[in-house]
Amino acid sequence: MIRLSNVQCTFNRDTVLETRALRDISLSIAAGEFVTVIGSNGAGKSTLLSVMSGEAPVTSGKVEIFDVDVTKLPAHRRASSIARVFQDPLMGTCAGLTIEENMAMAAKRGQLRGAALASNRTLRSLFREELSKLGLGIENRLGELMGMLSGGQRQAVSLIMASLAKSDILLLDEHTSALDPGSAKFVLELTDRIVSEKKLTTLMVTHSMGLALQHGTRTIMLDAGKIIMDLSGAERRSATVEDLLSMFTKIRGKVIDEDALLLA
Amino acid sequence: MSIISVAGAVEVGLIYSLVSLGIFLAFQVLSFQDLTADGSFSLGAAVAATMIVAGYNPWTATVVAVLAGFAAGLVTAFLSIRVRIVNLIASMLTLTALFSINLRIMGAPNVALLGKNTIFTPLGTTFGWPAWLGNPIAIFVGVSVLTALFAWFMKSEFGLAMRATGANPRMARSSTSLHIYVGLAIANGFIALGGCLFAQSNSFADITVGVGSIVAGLAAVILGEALVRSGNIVWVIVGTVIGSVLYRFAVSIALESEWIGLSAGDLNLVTAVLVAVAMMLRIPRFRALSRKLMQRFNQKAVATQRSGA
Repeated sequence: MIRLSNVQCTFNRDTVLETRALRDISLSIAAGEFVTVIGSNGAGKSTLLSVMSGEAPVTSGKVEIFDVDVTKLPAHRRASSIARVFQDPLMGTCAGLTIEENMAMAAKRGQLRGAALASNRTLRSLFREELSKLGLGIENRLGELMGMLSGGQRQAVSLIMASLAKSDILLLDEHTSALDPGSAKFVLELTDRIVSEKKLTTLMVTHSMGLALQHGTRTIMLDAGKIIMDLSGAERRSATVEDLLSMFTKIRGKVIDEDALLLA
Repeated sequence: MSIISVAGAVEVGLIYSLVSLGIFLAFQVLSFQDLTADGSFSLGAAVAATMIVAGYNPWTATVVAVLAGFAAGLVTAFLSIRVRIVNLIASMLTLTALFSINLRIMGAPNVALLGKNTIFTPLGTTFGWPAWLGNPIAIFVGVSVLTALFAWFMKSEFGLAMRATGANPRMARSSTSLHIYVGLAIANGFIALGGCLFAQSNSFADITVGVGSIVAGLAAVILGEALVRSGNIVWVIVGTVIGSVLYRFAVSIALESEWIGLSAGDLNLVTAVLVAVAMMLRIPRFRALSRKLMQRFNQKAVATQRSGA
């Protein structure tokens, strides 16, 4: 379903600020797989997702989705198959638009937008029904501005928005790391539910090794722009956080010094 | 204020409400600081006046004036998107170029329309309405229709995506440059229509007629926002139109009261100061300060009352 072949992504090429965010990444993800992505800061996790969604330019290599070469397609031309939820709850929604308008935006993601009213009675009842699954009472607040919701609520709505229009791929970029533990747990459970309900191929970036193993069907670890570990099946089921840490140390020959990776 | 000057203020306010709708679309919806407005207002006036003097049907002249406004917006959008010039500079380039273009169109710094047929003429000849009454009524009808269409557009699928482009381009994930092209074209079309109606109702076009349109439009937008305080785009748009009319009322009262001692030439200074103060009040520190000043003023008033009693 998603295939990256020898993808390189370099920012600020040929300047002193040159950063090689992805170095020769080859990765193939089958339909329905739920891949969790871990790695330290600057490992290239977010860039990996951005390369798939079309928000980061590929320096060399090829990105294919459904066997179609999308390397050169801009983000909005891929939007019909890719939904994305960002780390920052402010990023995935428009604070200045109402909840209903945000939902209406999402419902037409990747489709042609015409002169018809963006929302109508049928859509409104669909929005209410979808939002009521959250159990947060947001379905009764359609006319309020998105900015009135808390970070956790906005992230939950972002997830619902991501699943509104038909799509095949869901990209989650540390979408719970800005939330308190309670909200994070709620949003993660919601994620699992939506992914299995809509049969989405999912990539979830997380800073927590524990979460990376608890959720999904496959785990990859990035370091300095390379995939240094790829676990799935029985090997992954038996793995523990300590295993991941020791594997990481063995492969990289260095001790992880980052608290965020250990505490989880 | 006499009934005629009230009608006059309503008329000018309604004409400028087209400007404020354009400013609202560019500045608030697209977050595009578009300075083209001063130029496209004059452009609309220049095109309409020149064509009417040349003997064209006033309706044809009006349509061409709007199209000229579209073109001005497209040039600014092109400079910003394709040439990647910062919004402000891109629109300033268009604005500067338009000054020369408007002079070329008119062939002189001003054109008089006295005695020519305008789109308002039939009101007098057919219905026998005097211009001071007929013009504002006709403009009110026209502006209402345009406002309704604009509100529909802002609530449509395309318009919603345009609003998202301005608010959060990463979330919008749609062709943001298309939205900026279309948005700026419509915004400057509205503003040119304003200029074109201004020229026809005042029977002249002048090279400087557009100076201050942006700031006047902003004043109306800010006033409108303060009036409606709603998240509903329809009310915000209606508020912008009402804000424009109220703003003109305030201006004409200020200009008519002799004790303030303002002349028409001071209008731009007054507008600029008003907008600056309104912007200042958005900063919490200044808001707190103004509240404190008001309290002190009230206390003093109470104290003088007491001592008086």
